[in-house]
Amino acid sequence: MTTTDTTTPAAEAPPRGGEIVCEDVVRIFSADGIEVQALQGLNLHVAAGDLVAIVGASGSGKSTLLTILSGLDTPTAGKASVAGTDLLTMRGRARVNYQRHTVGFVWQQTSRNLLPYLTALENVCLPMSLAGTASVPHAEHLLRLLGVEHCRDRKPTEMSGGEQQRVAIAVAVANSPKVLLADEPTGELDEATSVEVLETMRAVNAELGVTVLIVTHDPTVSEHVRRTVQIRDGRTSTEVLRRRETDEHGQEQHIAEEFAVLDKVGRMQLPHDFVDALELKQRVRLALEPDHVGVWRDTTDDPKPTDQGEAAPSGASNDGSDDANRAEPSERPEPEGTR
Amino acid sequence: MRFSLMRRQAASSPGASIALALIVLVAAGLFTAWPRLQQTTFNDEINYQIEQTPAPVRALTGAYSGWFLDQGPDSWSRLDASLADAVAGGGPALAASAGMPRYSVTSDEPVLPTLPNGLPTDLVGAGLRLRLDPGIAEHVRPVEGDLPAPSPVDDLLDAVQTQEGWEAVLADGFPATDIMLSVESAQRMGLAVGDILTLPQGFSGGAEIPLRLSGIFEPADPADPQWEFQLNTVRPLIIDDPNTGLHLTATGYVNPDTVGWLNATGLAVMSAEFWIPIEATTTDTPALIADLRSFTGTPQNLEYSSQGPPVEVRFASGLTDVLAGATARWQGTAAVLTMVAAGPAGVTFAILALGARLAVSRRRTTLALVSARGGSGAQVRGMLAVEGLVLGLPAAALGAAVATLAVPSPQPSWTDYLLPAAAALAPAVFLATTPVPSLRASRPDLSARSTSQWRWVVEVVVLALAAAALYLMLQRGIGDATAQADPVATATPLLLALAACVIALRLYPVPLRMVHALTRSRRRLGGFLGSARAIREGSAGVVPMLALIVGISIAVFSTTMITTLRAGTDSGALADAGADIRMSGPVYSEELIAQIAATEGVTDVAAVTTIPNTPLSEDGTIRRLDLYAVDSDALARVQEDVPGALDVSELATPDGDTLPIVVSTGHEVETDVPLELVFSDAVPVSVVGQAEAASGVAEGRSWAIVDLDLLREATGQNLSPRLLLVDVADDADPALVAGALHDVVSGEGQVTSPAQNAADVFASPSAGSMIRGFVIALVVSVLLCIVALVMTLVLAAPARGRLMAVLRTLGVGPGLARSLVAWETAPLTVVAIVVGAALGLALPQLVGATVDLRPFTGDDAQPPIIYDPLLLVGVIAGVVAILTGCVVLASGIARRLSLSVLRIGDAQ
Repeated sequence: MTTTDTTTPAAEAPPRGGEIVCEDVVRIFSADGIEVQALQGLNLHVAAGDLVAIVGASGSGKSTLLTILSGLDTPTAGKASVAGTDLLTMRGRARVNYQRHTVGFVWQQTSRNLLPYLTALENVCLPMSLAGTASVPHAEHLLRLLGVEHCRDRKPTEMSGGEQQRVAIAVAVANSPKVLLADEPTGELDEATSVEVLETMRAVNAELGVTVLIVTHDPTVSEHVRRTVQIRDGRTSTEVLRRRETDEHGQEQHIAEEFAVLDKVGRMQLPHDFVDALELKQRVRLALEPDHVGVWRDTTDDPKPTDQGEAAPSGASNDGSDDANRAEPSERPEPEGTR
Repeated sequence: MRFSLMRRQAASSPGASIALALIVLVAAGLFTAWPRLQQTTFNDEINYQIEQTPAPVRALTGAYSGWFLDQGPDSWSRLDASLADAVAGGGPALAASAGMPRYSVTSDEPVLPTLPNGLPTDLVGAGLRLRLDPGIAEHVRPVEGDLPAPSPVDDLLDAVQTQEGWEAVLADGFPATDIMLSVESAQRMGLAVGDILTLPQGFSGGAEIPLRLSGIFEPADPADPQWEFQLNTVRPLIIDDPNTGLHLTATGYVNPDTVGWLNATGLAVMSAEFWIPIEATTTDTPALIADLRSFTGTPQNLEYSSQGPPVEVRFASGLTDVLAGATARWQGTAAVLTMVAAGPAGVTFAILALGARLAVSRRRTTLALVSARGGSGAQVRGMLAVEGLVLGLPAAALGAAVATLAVPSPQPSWTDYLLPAAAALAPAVFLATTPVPSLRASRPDLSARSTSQWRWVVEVVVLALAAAALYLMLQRGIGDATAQADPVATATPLLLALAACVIALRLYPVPLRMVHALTRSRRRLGGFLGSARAIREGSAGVVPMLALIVGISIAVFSTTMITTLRAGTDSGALADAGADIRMSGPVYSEELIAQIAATEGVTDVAAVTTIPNTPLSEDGTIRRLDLYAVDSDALARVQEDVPGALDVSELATPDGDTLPIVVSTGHEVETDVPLELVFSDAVPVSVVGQAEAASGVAEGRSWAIVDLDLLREATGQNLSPRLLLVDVADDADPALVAGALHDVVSGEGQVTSPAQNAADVFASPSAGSMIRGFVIALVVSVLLCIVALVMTLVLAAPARGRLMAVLRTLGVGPGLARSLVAWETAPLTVVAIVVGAALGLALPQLVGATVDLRPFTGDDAQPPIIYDPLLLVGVIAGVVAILTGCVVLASGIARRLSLSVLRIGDAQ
């Protein structure tokens, strides 16, 4: 399954945010005899106004993705667009406009978000002034919205970490961007402050309707967002959707469903624990059932002579996610690791 | 809002900005002062040379032979006006430098008067020349009596109308006409004021001409150049004829309005002398040379008489040659100074670029963030450019203004401000063109290839340019440096330094790898880590390397040039003087020569007798040459070390009655015909050698040299020497010996030593300014080296700080930081010393091959480049000591600076 409109945007207000579309995005860094493929055909679709977290281990390519989305880097191949702006063909003036009006971002280190010698208000005014639309009342409004109006005339060194990040968010949304990108916004914060900052981002998402994409390796972040996309080895691998449901007893329940991501040609990644649990290696056997696909361990090389393979299915279907696995019958998903 | 943000940003890291502004300030000041100093020094040099030239040589002098005097009342003032017109028409530069034109009219041949008190016993003859000089009153101070009054004869002549009247006057005798003599002339002739002396018969009819000594004078100012133009006036000319005795010729002034009387006496043929003094006040030498050439090239028509035609006078001046020589000397100075200055000027701009990089790197986070938040390239660069202008323009303006006020320029030109303007704009340009840092995490390991490819291209271009410039310079030499600097000559040393830098940076890792291999086996971490960083991080910056190479090469170059010029000057002066001490002037008797030879410190004395205009008969054809009779044995010993000394070994051995002579190549003689020197008797001679020059002995083009004793024998004449060449013992001080000899001859004549001449050469403004230029260039280079090293250390501080942070967590002591800093600078300095010294040793050869150094040394041949190893090592050691001190100081500062980034993981 590719990402679909399974999530619901903030329905109350018409979304002001922008849609993020990545299809088979490839980014290769090359030098003498070395090629590092940071993104290997990444697919991602974030609907306008959505709040999505991207999680992944270091080196999985999530920072590369964010650098590309923030307009600092250009993908080598594929298709990437944010709020209708094609990131592959974006040059010069368009890039500046993109950075001014389409995206805003918050980085992990507070020192990289705020200029140390400017006050909070001045920091918020800076991007507006770069775009030629400096407005002190608007900046004050943003500080108020983010609950840091008391920091108006303080320099970053005089604020707490949480305050700094909230001012940083205000800076990022100063020019009313369509998309807010955040790279480990809670990386240097304690747990309580992290929650505070994440809730602030959720509030910004709700209030301003801006699409928010948070990149993190912090698993707790995913609890604050509707949708979490996992990146592994330069590709999106699985997604977790969260929703709240009121069950028949009138109790609100947090429901988290995990999905594997399927690309246009039908490739998908099996989660590591699945592969480990069944000792899946090199190849697996597939079987198309009426409402799901079965995956079995390849036992042809197993020492047992009696084993007839198909007769003794030892595999498992993706329990709990039947409806997410709609592979075309003609295509066989390849095991992870082969290309 | 935007401007306040910009101001905040600019003020956020003021260190680099202040450094940039300071460098621009100093650079603009130096760039402004340099050409002005050059112009000033050039004018000083020219005026110094004019001053050094004797007044009669430098003045415009002309003569007119023949009677042109007019009795008209306005004739002198008409002549004055005409001369003034001629000077004014000679061009503005000439008019500005010319003094008051002067002239006098003097009788050519002395007439012999009858003296009232008889001829003094010490004289065998006393002659008198009469002179008219309307302007003499200003130059004399009457000691007794008065200036001569107009002759009463004129009135008498006017009164006489008839032949009978004339006969009567002749019979009665004429009244005396006034004459004025100098005190000494009157004294030598035994005359007192009021005495009447009688000239032999004159006038048509043959009456005696009485003259009354109306007054005696002394020069109003003994140093007045007037008396250099009018020789034998203050003191009478006394000719010592060895056969007869002393003959005196005095010159007396008669009233300038006695033209009628002079005319009537018909005594003498009169000649006029004109002289226009040239003062040492020129500010535009080329114009002065041009004016002098055109003034002397055409005859001047001087109006004198209202009836007669104008007098045509051709003026001449020795000044054109002097000025041409001074200009040549200056061209050499300018060429050498430009070559020296080019390096530091180039390094200054390189350092400004480095400073801009430092300023950008100090606020890379800010710039990256601004650029990522939507600051367009134009915005960010524009902001940096504006900041650069704000830093550069006022600093440069201040520097240029101070230099303009401090160094007055005789010919200010807007082109003098081009380089300061470049310095003013440099920060803006360098700041705006420095790559804007990006927030994107950079992967230096992944972008290695493209950099190294470009590096090759740049290096090849630099080497090719240096080779081309070198080839061009060797091919066509230095251009005319009076007006504008030769761009090739200016750029070549800098390009050579760049090429040397490129090679040094390539070779630099080779010895380092060896050092690294050595340190690997040692236990100490500092050397291992430091050498590993130096090799693998490629931290050796181009700019500090260039600065160091230029600095060291200038030190070596300047030292070598000074050594070379001093040696060349010494040898030139020695060749000029012909011996350690040269004594000339009076007649040196045998006793006096013996006394001189016995003086302490004197090892040998060679006597030279000059017999000018000696006829040499070649098979009956007679041509005249100057004959120099020398003590050939003594001369050979005295001139052992003198460059260009004549080989006199064959002069002392006569071939029968024939005297051997050496003849100048300027006087071509047939050697296979009978040759005779014609004295009272003919002396047969044979040519044993021909020479172009005889150092210290012969002057001019036509001369011959013969042995003094042989010539005395052959002619039977006691030829007295007027020139002595004295050899001084090696351990004696020539100056002291010269002083002693001065006392021996009781101050008579001239006693000169080459050391004195050499000092004179270095006393000239151009030589002085060359040495000052060397010192300034050296000081500036050392400063630039220090700035470059400090900037590099500061630039590398964040990386070093991160490394130190990691190492500290591994348990390394803080002392390692010092070792790391040392390893960042020491290998660089060592390589730069080697390469810079090599370049500094090579550059003088380039100068020797392209710049005419002969005007400096006064020698005929280009002086050889002389290296003084001891002095060179001393100078390099001095420079290195200063650099080391400053680097130690700087590393302390750098370590302090690196403390601010002691945080692991804080990227960039």
